[in-house]
Amino acid sequence: MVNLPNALSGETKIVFTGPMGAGKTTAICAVSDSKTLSTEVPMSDGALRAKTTTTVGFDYGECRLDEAHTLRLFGTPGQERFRFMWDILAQGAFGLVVLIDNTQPDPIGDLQRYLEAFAPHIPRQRTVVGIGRMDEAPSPSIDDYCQRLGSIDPLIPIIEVDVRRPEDVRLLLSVLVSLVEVQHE
Amino acid sequence: MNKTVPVKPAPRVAFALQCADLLAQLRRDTAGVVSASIATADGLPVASTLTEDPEIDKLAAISGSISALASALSRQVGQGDPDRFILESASGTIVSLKVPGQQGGMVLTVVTDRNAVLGKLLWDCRATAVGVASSASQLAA
Amino acid sequence: MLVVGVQEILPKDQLVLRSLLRLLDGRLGRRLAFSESIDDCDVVFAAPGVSLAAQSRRTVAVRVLPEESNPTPGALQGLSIVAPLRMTNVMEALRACVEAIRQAKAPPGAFAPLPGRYRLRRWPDAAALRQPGIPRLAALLTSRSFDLAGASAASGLPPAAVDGFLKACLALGYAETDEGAAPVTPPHAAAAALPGPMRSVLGRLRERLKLW
Repeated sequence: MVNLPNALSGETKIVFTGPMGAGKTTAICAVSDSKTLSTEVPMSDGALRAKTTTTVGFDYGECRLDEAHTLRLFGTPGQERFRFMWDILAQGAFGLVVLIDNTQPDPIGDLQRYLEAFAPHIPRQRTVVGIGRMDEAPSPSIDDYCQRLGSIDPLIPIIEVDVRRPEDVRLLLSVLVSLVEVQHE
Repeated sequence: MNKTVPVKPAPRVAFALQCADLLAQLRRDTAGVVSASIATADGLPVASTLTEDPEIDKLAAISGSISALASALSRQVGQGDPDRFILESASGTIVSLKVPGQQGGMVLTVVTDRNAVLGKLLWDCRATAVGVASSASQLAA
Repeated sequence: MLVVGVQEILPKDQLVLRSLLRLLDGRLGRRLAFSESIDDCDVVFAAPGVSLAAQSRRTVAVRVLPEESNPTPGALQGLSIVAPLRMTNVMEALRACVEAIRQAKAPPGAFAPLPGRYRLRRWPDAAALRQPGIPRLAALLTSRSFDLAGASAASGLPPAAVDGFLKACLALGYAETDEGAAPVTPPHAAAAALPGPMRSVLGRLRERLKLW
């Protein structure tokens, strides 16, 4: 059963998830009106590339649509130990954006884990995937992702993006909004 | 003749053992304490009076999250970073204190039943946090 | 054979492009070659604002935009690519050039729409999705099959645009025909229509963030 959010109360929520360093915080900042709320703390087990901090609560950003409606953007912590936060944050979301870092050892495995974790809360028909850092690591290719995910859902949009560019974040949201609209036509 | 040479534990392990001792003492000496745990600010376990690994790991992660969220709330309303927060329910109390230190410091989380006396509990928790911070600074030195 | 040249792009971009052409030679369904002579080129990667010299043959221009540019989708005329040049964005640009050349070679008024019904087996690449209206068209075609007229009506795109999209997707193996079957109704499509307030919110979201 599709759980539509209560739009009458003005609540419209999108969740960004993915492994640490995939760009969730960056993506939310790109489309938020003002400074986003962050719960980043220093990493105790060593830095990941240039990243020395990690989100342990959630990222939060807002985009005011009009007097009555605000788009709320939530970013989850990336590590598996914060899975309880994924369950909490996914409640009531109308869409999910999964961001993947293609330079990691098993990015397709990462994607499968996040899709499975969020499937009980947000339907796959409202999920968009952005693959980042493909210029540094072209493999696996988008074709590889589509082939591997064919058994789960061949029709999830999987798009190469660089979330440091706002237009790429808007691309992900354009696809997500189109999915939601078409789903009910 | 064989001589047994005591093996000195690695500094990190020694620190964890010191923390475990401090937590055990807290649990022993403070009425109502059900469990006491120390986690890193990013949710990794350091020491705990709990015995089940999954429970220890989960509590460490939640402690890290809730401490960060409490800080975010406090900063959002203009009250700066909190030193501690208290959750009270019909079953008891949970106290969470920040332990200053490197790499964001740590979080001490103490769970009590209804027998705990809040003032004594906070006093003893504070002493434990100071002890942990002191051990941590010796480790860093 | 697709012959590629450059006009007034940065030396480092030219070097990268020439390397990528060697790597991609034969991988896009045709041979690729670089030429110093613009007159021999099918495709020219050019700096913005540079007008191409008069050509003896029809040439497709790809504007190389600086790294810090933030082009609004649909605002640019013709093809463009944002620096730095890399494998993925050059491949996308070359695929678009191939399609543009194919369409240009069709005799005027010879738009022969695709017969039958089609659906997508997978989503198209980012380059295609950056075009206005294409995300919605792709969402429709992944949810169920459409004929050309139906897809045009549902997406709001002109038939020629839908036709071009479908032909490109068929060539790349992203689309398949759905001959002889009634439209498949996936279980989720039986969900209720989007509530008015939610539709309104999504409309405002599109407007506010300039989604397409």
